[in-house]
Amino acid sequence: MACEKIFADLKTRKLTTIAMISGTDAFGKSMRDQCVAVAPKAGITIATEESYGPRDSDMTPQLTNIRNKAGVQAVVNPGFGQGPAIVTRNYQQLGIKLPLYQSHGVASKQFIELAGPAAEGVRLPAAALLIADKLPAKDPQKPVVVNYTRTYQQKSGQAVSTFGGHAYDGLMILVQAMQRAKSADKAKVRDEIEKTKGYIGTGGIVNMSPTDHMGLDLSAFHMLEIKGGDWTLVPGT
Amino acid sequence: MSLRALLETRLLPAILVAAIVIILPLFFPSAYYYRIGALVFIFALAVVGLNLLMGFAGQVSLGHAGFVGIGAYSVAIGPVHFGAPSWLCLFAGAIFSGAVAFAVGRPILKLKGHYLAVATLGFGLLVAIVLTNEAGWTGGPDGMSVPALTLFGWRVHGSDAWYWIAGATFVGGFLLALNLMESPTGRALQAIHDSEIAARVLGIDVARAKLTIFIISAVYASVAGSYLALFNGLVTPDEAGFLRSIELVAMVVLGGMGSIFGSLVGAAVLVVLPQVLTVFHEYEQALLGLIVMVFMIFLRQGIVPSVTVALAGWRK
Amino acid sequence: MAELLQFVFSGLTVGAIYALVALGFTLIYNASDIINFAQGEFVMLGGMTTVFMALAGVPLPLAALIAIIVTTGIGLALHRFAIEPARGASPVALIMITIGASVFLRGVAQIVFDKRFHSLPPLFGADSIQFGGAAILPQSLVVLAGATVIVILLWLFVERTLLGKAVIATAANRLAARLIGIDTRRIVDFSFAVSAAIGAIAGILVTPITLTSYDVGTLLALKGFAAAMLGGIGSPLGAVVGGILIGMIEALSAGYLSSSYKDAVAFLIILVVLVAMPQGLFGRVKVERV
Repeated sequence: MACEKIFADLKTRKLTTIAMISGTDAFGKSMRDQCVAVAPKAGITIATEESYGPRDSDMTPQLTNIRNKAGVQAVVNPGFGQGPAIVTRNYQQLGIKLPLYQSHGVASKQFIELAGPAAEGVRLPAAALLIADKLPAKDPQKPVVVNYTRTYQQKSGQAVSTFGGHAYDGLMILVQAMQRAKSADKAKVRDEIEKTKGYIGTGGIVNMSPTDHMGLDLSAFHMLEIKGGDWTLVPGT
Repeated sequence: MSLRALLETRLLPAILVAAIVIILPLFFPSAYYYRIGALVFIFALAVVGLNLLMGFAGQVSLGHAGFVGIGAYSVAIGPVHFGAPSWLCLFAGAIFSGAVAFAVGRPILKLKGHYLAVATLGFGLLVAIVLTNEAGWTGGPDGMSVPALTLFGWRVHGSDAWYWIAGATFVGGFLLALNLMESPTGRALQAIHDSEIAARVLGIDVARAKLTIFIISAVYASVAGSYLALFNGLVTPDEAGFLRSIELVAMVVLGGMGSIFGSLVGAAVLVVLPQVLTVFHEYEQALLGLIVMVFMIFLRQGIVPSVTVALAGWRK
Repeated sequence: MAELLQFVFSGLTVGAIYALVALGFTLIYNASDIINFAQGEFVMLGGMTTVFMALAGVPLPLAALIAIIVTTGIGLALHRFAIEPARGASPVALIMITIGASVFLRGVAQIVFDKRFHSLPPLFGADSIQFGGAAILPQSLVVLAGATVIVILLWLFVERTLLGKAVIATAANRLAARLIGIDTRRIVDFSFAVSAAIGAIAGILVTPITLTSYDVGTLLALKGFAAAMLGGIGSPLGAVVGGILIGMIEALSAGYLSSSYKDAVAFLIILVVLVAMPQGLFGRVKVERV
C-alpha cells in the first residue's frame, strides 16, 4: 500500500521510470517485492535495482550505478533502521538531484536528525500522526491524532512516531471489540474485531472484514515532504 | 550381564543419558518443558558433532551453523518446492551437508588455528548470505514455513512427540560418538590433536582423518538443523548465522571440549539460561555475557571436566 | 572511469574502518596470543559514549576525550578481571571469555545508552569533496589519516622506545621476556589499553559516516578479525592492508557484480587467499619445532 501511495504521487509529478535501492532485511525485502508487484498496474517502470545490507555503512557504489543508469527519473528506498539515513546522506554526497522517496519505515523524527540537511525534499508516505497539527481542520483524524500527540508528548517527553501510534490503534481496536463482544473469549473477540467499522485511529480510518484484516485504504497514508527539517503535508494527498 | 559389569562398561554414559531422557518428563509440569527438553537434545546433537571436531580433533569451526542451516532448509525447500517427503529430505540434507563438508573441508582443513577459524567463519557467513538472498527458493530474510514431518501416515507435531524423537536421536548420536572415539579413526584424531607432526610420523593420514571428522560433524549438525526446522515449523536464515555458530561453540566450550557428555550439559545451559533470564528483561543480555565469562574463568575446562576433576580430588 | 574512482573512494572509506578494528586485534594478539572478540565493542563504546556525553551537554572534544579514557579503562578492566584470572586456560576458553565480554558490554550498553541510532557531527563539514568526477567525504579522509597516523605511531613506538621493545619481546617469547625481567602482565595490560583506545578513536572518527548504536560492534569485530587474518595476524601493516582490501572488494563487488552478494565475494576471496597463503598476506610463516 505504501508503494501504491508512492507510485500515485510519482504519476502526479509525471515521473514513470524509477530505480529502487532496498535493504536486504525483512522489511526492505517485503516492501520491495510489493512495489515490484504493483508497479505495472500503476504504470511505473523499474529501470534498475540495487540492494544493501541493513548494517552497511556506505552505499555510494550502488547509488553510483543508479545515477549512471539512463532514464531514471526518481529513486525509491524501501528500508528500515539506519540504512535509509545513510542512503539519503550518500545521495546528497553524490549530488544526485532526482526525487528520492523513502518508506514509512523511517517515519520518525530520528530519520530527519540522522540524515541531516540531506533529508530536504525527501518524500515518504506516512500516517496522519506525524503531521497532526498540519492536517486540514475538517480531517476526521485530526482530533484523534492531536489528542494522542499531546498525551504522548506530555507523558514521555519525546516526539511521536507512527510505530507508537500503530500500537495504540491495535490496543484500542482490541478493547472496543472486547467491549462489543462483552467477553474475552478468543473466537468472539476475533469476530468482533473483524466487524470494526469506521474506527478513527492514528493510522487511518479502519474498516475491517473477515477477508481484510488491515482495514486501511490508501487514504490512511498521506504523502509528506521534509522541508526545513520538519514534516510537511504535500497538498491534496 | 551383572549390574557391576554393566556399570563399568564404557556404555555407562550412554545409559546415563538414556535414563535422563526417560526420567526427566516426570518432572515436566507443562508442554513448555517438553519443548525446552526437545530443543536441548536437538542442540546437543549438533554440539556433539562440533565437539568431535573441536574437542577431539582440535579443529576450530566458527561457521558450523552453516551446516545446521543446510539441514534446516533441506526439509523446507524439499517438500515445498519439490513435493518430496520430509524424512527423505532430512536424509538428502544430511548427505548434501556431508558433500559440502567434503568439498569445503579439503582445502581449508590445511589451515591452522585462527586461520581455520576465519575460513570456517567465512563458510558459515556464505551459507547465511545465500539463504538470505535467494528468496525465490528460501523465502529470503523472512524465511519459510516448514511442513510437518509425516512418518507412516502419522503427522509428527507437538512438543512431547519431538521430545522423544530428539531424545532418542541424541542417545543414538551419543553412542555413535563414543564408539567413534574408541575406533581407530578416533584414536588417530586424538593423536593428531596431541601432536600433528608425531601423528604424521606414525603414518596416520592426517588430512583424511580431519576430513572424515569434519564430514561427520557436518552430518550431525545437519540432522539437528532438520529437526529444528521440523519442530518449529519455520526456518529463517538466522539458523545459519554467525550468532548461531558462536552459540554452538559456546555450548562446546562451556560443557567441556572433548567431553561428549559435556555437549549435553553445554546445550542445556545455553538453551535454558536465556529462558530463565527473561525475568530480568533488559538485563538479560548483560547477565548472559557475565555468566558465560564467569563460567569460563572459574570452570575453564568446561563444566563436565572441571566437575569430574573436582569429584576425583574429593573422593581421595 | 569516474565510477571506478567512486567505488575506490567507497572502498577506502569502509576499508579504513575495518583497518582500525583489525589493528586492535593485532595488538592484543601480538602481546598475548589472544583474539579479543570484544574489540568491536570498544569501537561502539567510543562512539556511543561521546554521543551521550555530548547529549548531556559536554563540549564535543571533551566528550571524545572522556569516551577514550572510559573505553581504555574498560579495556584494562577486561584484562585484569576477565583474562588475567583465566591465565593458562586454553585459547578457545580465552576466546570464549572475550565473546562473553562482548555480549556483556553490548547488554550493558543497551541499558545505559539506548537502542536507537546516533550520529556525530563530522570534523570538517558534511559537504563532499569532488575529485575526478567522484565524491568523497572529508570525514573519510580523516579516518584514513587517523589510521595512517596510528600505524606510524605504533611503528615508532616499537622501534624507538624501550616499552615498545618489551612488547615485541613478550610477543616473541613470553617466558624469555619474563626471564629477562619484563613484567609481562603489565605489557598485556598495556596492549589491552592501547587496543581499547584505538577502538574508541576509531569509533569516534567513523560515527559521522556510519552512525552508531549499541550493536554495531558485532559486524565490525567479524570483519576486523577477517581483515587481521587476511593480512596475517601479528602484522600491523597486514591488518591495515587487510582492512582496506576487504573494503575495496566489497565496494567493487557492490558496484560491478551484485550488491546483495558483496559480503559473500569478500569472504570467498579471503578463503581463496588463505588457502593459497595459509599464513595470510604478511604473516610470519610458523615454523613448528619438534
